[in-house]
Amino acid sequence: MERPSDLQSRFDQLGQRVGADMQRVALRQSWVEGLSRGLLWFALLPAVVLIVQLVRYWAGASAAFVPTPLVVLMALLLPVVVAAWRTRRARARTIVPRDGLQAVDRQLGLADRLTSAQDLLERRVEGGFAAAAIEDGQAKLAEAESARLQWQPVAWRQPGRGVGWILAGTTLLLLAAQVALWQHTTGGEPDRIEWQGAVGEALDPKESDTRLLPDPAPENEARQPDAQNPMGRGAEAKPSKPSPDLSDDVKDSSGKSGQGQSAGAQSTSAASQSRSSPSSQGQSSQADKPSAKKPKKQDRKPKPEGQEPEKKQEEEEDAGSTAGRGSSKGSNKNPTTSSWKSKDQVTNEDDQEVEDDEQAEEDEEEQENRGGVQPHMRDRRPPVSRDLQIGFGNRSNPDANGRGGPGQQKKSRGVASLVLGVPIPDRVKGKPGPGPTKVTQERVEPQAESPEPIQAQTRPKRSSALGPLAPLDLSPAMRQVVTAYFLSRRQAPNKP
Amino acid sequence: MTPPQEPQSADEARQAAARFREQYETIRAEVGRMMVGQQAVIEGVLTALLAGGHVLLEGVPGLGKTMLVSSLGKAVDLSFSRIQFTPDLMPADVRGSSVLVDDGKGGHSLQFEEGPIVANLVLADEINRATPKTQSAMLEAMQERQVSVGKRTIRLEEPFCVMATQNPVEQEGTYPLPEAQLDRFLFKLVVGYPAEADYKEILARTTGGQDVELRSVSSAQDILAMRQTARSVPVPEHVQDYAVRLVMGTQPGSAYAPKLVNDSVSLGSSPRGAQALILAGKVKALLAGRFSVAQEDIDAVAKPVLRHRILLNFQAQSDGLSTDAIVDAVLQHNQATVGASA
Repeated sequence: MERPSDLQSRFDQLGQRVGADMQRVALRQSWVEGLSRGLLWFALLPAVVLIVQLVRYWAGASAAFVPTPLVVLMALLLPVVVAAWRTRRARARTIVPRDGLQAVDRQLGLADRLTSAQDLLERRVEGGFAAAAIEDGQAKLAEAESARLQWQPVAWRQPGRGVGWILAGTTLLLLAAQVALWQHTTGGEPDRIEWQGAVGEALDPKESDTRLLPDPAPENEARQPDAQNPMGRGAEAKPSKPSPDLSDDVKDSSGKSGQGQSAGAQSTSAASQSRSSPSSQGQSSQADKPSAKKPKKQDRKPKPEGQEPEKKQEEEEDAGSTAGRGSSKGSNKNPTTSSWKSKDQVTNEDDQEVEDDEQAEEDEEEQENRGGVQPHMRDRRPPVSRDLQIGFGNRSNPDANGRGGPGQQKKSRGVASLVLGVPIPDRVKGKPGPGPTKVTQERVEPQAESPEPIQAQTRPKRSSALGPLAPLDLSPAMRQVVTAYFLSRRQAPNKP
Repeated sequence: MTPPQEPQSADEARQAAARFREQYETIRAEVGRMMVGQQAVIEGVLTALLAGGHVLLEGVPGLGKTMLVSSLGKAVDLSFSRIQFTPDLMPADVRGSSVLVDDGKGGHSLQFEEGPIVANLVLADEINRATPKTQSAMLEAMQERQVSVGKRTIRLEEPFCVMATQNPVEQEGTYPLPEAQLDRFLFKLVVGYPAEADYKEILARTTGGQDVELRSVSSAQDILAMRQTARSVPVPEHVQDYAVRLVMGTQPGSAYAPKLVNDSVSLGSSPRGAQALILAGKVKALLAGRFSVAQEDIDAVAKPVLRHRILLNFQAQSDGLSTDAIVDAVLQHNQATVGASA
């Protein structure tokens, strides 16, 4: 029987050995994972450099802001740095012997026998079952010591992605190098030619003369290499400044482009026209009113038979829909006279119009038979003015002279009835029969409110001042005593 | 009755473990004569009995839940009583009450009559059909192993095991067991439909002319000795840690809880869950021929131990998530944590 301490050391040695293997595997795995993750930076850094180069190029600055070898070096170093950082983190994680024994148990299918035996030995657990468990573990220990453990091979998790990053990074690196190289070979400042041409004073007179001469052939020759380079084409296509060596044809064509200006002027004038055009609705309706009024009065006396339908139609048009056709017939001074109908009105147009028309016809026939306007019709008072403004009722403002100053009253017809909902009787006073009554007011049944019940509470005793307290009205002598007390306390705070 | 001694040497432990396995297999075979199939349920019931816990059996009608428990009572030779829980069952019907009896001298006297709860093996059939008042009459008996009626306290004789059944369907008119009572069950076993091959055996046994008569192959002392043997099995520290992490993994907001638990669980397992994991794991270790508990023993009993101790939130219930899925997620998370460290 092996001594417990020896057995313990054997378990520990096995655990440490396997733990060291686990640590090595973990480090290798961390290194590979770090590299695979760092490859993203291998592609990202050249991409950033290329973007900055392009931005600087379009801004007119030198694109080669960083040496290409340095970019390559940094792109290669970044994955290594990431891998090293991850490896350092993996190294910081300690693997205790128990972890190694658990790995052995798992690989050999020993169901924690080694780990349990090592734990029971370490904790010196007494009892028959503990001894049996230790012996059980001891029996498996020799097998575990001689066994070769299989570790999960270190592998790239997503090799396709890594290859993709490598390809992308290499391509971007080449592109960045190409941009820097191209600028280096072509002088690196594509906009400088235009700039020098524009600022002719700074140039050598001879050189400026040769440049200002209209010599298209050499210019074409000089531009040929640029035209072959796509970047050069882009640089040439960009400037729109007229160069001094433009031909007359080109100038003419530029003059024609002035059509755009004239077109713009036309469009603005059109806009002003549309702005000055009156809003036809309000004024035209006012202007139409008097003209529509006079013919109607003239038409009423002859009463030809053939014109009755037209007359009826005019009456209908004049009468306000909200005022009821019976009461406001022929009176277009009624402020509610309008062809506009409220949405809120509860009317049934089919039967209501038929009834009103019949009543109006009967009324007129009666009047004709009686020989004129009957007394009860003379009692008709003008409709109630429902203007909401302080003014002159239905009369026009006497101070209005049409030359500035106060003007005519503003139209606000029907506002009250539309907003507030006023019940309007639709019948003639004194006429037999109540007639239909239109009610445009929505009836709302009153509902009882249920207030929340007030919970009676016992008020606790007040422990502090509540609200501002009025200063005590002390007598001068008492005030002196109090002041002296607090001054003495302040001078000797520790004195009881 | 003298309690069985704990084995002091490795040889004694091996002999005790062998006896344990032998007894276990004998009981299982005897119950299996009556109960066709459902081996996992039979093993679960026996494990709970040997671990000293109570069992909640859930399954649709006709699967032999009641027959399983009554067969176990016969095979183990324990005093067996059955309580059919109904909505009008009163606590006094479970615990017992004083009744007026004739004293033989022309007078009457009050005499206490024990209820059916005073037995070794109590079958609480359709426990969720009784009112909470009556269900709560079981609480003291299940946890304290005693019954208090008035000023009288009756110690229940060991082994005491409550095996309750409930029907997952027909929930109308039932009273779901409160969390406090569910927590007192060591296992919740789900009884499923038998396999196709078992159907023929069931038909042959139940429609033939011969009835199966079970004999008692064990006694209460044997069960107590087996319980003592199981309790002697040591638990390594890493297994304790594993069980604790498993229980904490069911508690939302804990360090070991996976995302599914944080999203779906409103209440996790209590420390009783860890106790149950260890106790049942000890029985499993002995049955597997080991002398200490391993992580795989804890894994084996995780579902029946934890599935009724997890309360799902409304979101999980509306998604149709089961507590078994939660336990699976916790197990996976826990094993991944252990695997990462080893």
